[in-house]
Amino acid sequence: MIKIYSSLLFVNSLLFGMSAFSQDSIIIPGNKLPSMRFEASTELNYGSTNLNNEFIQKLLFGGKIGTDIKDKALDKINNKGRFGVEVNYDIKYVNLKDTLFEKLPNYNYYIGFGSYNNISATYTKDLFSTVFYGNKEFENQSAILGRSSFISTKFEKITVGLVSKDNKTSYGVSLIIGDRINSYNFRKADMFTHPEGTNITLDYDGTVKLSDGNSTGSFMSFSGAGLGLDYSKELLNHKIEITNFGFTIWSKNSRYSNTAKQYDFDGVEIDNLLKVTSDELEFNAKAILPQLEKKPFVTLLPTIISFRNIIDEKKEFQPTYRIRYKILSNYFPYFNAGLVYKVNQHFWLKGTAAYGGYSGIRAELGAYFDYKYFRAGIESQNVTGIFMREGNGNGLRLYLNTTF
Amino acid sequence: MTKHLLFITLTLILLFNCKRKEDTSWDIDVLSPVVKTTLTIDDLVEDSILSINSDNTVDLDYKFSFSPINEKFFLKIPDTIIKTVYGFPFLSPVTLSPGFQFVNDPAENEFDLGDAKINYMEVSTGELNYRIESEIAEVTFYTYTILKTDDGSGNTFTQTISVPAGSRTSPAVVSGTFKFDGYSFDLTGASGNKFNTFESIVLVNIDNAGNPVSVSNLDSIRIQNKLVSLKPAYVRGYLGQTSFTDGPTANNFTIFDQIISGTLDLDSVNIYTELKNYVGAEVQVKMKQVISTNTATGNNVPLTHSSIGNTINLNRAIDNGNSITPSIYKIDYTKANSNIDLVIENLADIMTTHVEASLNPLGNISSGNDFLYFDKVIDADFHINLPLKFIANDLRLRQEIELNIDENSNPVHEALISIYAENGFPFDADVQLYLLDLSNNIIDSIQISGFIASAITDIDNKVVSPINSVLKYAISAKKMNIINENSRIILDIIFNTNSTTHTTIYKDYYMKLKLVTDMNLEINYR
Repeated sequence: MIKIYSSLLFVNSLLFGMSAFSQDSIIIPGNKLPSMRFEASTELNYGSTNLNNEFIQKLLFGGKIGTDIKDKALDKINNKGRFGVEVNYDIKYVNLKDTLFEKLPNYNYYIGFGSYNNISATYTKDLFSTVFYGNKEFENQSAILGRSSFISTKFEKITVGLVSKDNKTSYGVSLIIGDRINSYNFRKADMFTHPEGTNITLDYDGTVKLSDGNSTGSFMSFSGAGLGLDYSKELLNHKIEITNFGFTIWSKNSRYSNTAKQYDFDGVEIDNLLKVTSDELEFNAKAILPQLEKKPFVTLLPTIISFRNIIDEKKEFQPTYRIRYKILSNYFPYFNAGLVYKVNQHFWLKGTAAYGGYSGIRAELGAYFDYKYFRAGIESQNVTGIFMREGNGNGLRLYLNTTF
Repeated sequence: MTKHLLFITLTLILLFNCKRKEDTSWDIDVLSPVVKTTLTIDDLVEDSILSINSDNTVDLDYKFSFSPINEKFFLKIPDTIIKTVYGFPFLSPVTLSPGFQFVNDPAENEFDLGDAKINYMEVSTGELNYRIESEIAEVTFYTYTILKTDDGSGNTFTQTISVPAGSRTSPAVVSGTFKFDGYSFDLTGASGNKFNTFESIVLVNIDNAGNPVSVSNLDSIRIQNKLVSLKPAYVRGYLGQTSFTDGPTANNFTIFDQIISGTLDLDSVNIYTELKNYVGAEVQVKMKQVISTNTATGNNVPLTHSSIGNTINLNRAIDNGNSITPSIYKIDYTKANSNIDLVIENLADIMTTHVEASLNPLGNISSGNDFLYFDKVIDADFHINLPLKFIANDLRLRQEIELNIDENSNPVHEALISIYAENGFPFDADVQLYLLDLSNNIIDSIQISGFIASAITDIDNKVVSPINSVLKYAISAKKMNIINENSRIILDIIFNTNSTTHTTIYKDYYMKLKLVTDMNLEINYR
């Protein structure tokens, strides 16, 4: 039996790159009396409030982004656009017999590992236009690029925690291994393109935080290190979870800038046009950019806060709803609500309508299976994205739980 | 449905497990300044030839070394072989005890230096190759000493070599090399009144720690010493009489090499040839011809001057111990005594020279007190001191520019480029661009509208205020493709001064240029 479970875990890992998402989004019907439990979950999703799937897929996976899809994306931006990609996975071993502390006999311990990869952006319509159409259309006018943000972060965590025997409360402490952070926060960036392009002025106020530029940000690269806390609690048929509450200290070759400045760009100054070299051009061009200080900085972790109702597995129909938020990730509060239908003793279906995160209104579907010591679930977080050409994202959550 | 789920799964697997197979790209229109620069006379002319006068006028001091009269024409030390066979005058075998010295052979050896009579030499580099064959049935020690030598620290050249025991049928053979670098040689022989002669001694001993050995007239030691590749740094004595010819030699003449057409009328030019003799001997030089050639026009202008074809006598230099005072001979060229104005205004890129020279034409008149430092012999330099005061008429300067781009590295599809110029020079400038094929043939051009207008000048033709101009040119997608394929363009700038009188260029004149592009380009990342 152990072999079977291990194989299933392995297959799951292979299929989804050991990526997982917090199991809290998955309905967990029934309670067993196991001696140990393995959990693996993965979440892979991307979405945008204005970019359609064709646009996002070309952005992420390659391809020429043509004018037609750029036009559609631009039309959809009202005040701000939002875009994000999340790739998270967790694996966890829970010892259901033993406890770490004698004074806490009602708590078992668990050991977990997780990886969190997030690229996100919020942007104004002008910033989108400037990036994807160029600044020419702003000749003799200002493009409002500020109040925009781009964050790309990746970290792993190794967790040791306690979980109550009734599985209603858990605490975890994690060592955070920071792989990458590239954070650009433009509080203000008004760019004026002078007539005929003779000058470009930029009224800029922003913060730039960059981790080790020599590192590729690959798995466990230790560009930074920190501490994280996890907490979950079930109360009154609801469950609240706080994941990755903590910080990372980025000290290895990290660069930082917090600048408010008026730039007037009228060309890269070169000494002698007749003898210019590409090195001189590059050096002088970089000198124009905000000066990046080589100094350590601290960032808060993109903490995930989730609140949902707990499903009564005995009911045939019942409502479900959930709220999720992720700080410092350009994330819009996420809500979903819908129904859970118990098809039979081992099989559930869920349908919800959702809004927030990185996408707009969308439908979600989920299917869950429970048989003996094996539970699994699959959810599409954006069914409309799958079926509709103009969908603005896709997402998948998987959950696998084995006990024995 | 299945298709969509499959799509999601595959794209997610691609996202997290596979490399992207295609770049993400899109096109944007950018309107932006790109580069700016301020050109002054410092930027237009090499620093090495630029000379600023106290009144801020500018001269070009161009020096052109036109005759490689160097050490290769002078004394050469031939490789010298010294072979010696040492035998024993004993018909019956005689026993030699350990330590016995059976060869002690002083000798004088002479370098074959022709009519030169050298009494002192310092060696720059050189070596002694030796080969010793011994039939003595015991270890012997061979010591070779060259007397009256000095390594600079008071040490005479002496080397000892251990030669193993050999036999008549199987002689022991030892060979090797010793360096002579830095040694000085007294070449006056043992008597001190010879020349080209060095004195050496060969000593051969039986090994002190060896055994008695029996030898007879049938046994011998054969020694060959070869002095190879001796390059002197300095010699003293009589250098001999030699003569040599250099040329006709086509020399690159770079001062005007970017000018391909037009005329340049110079207000004045100070041109002279300076011959400097650093040799401690008399030298006669004859400049047989100096020809100015403009390869673009094919026009040749031979220099006419009284010095051409006639002998010039250069006195000997003076050796001060730590320095040499050369004898200097200066030939001034003026419009009055030559056609030098035509030579210069031909805007040559090649200068052909033909020179003859002879050493010690009057023989050994210094009683053997000639000297020669081989790193400094005779300089022959053609100097042009050219005040930048001229009339330029359609003076076209051409520069070929390697852009180092190709289809993959150049993201620009097409561009409209504007050059904003603030011209503080008293001349107009037209700009033309030509596209080249892979064989460097001009296959297309880029039409440029506008020109850089001359600055406003006063009655003395001095700049009082700069003038702004705008040049615009469009590079279509088709022409961008040609640039991407060949990566080379030709930039022609055609100058016209704004006055019929000669225009003076001052140090503080400048031209500000700003390049602004309105371009459609591809953003691309993998």
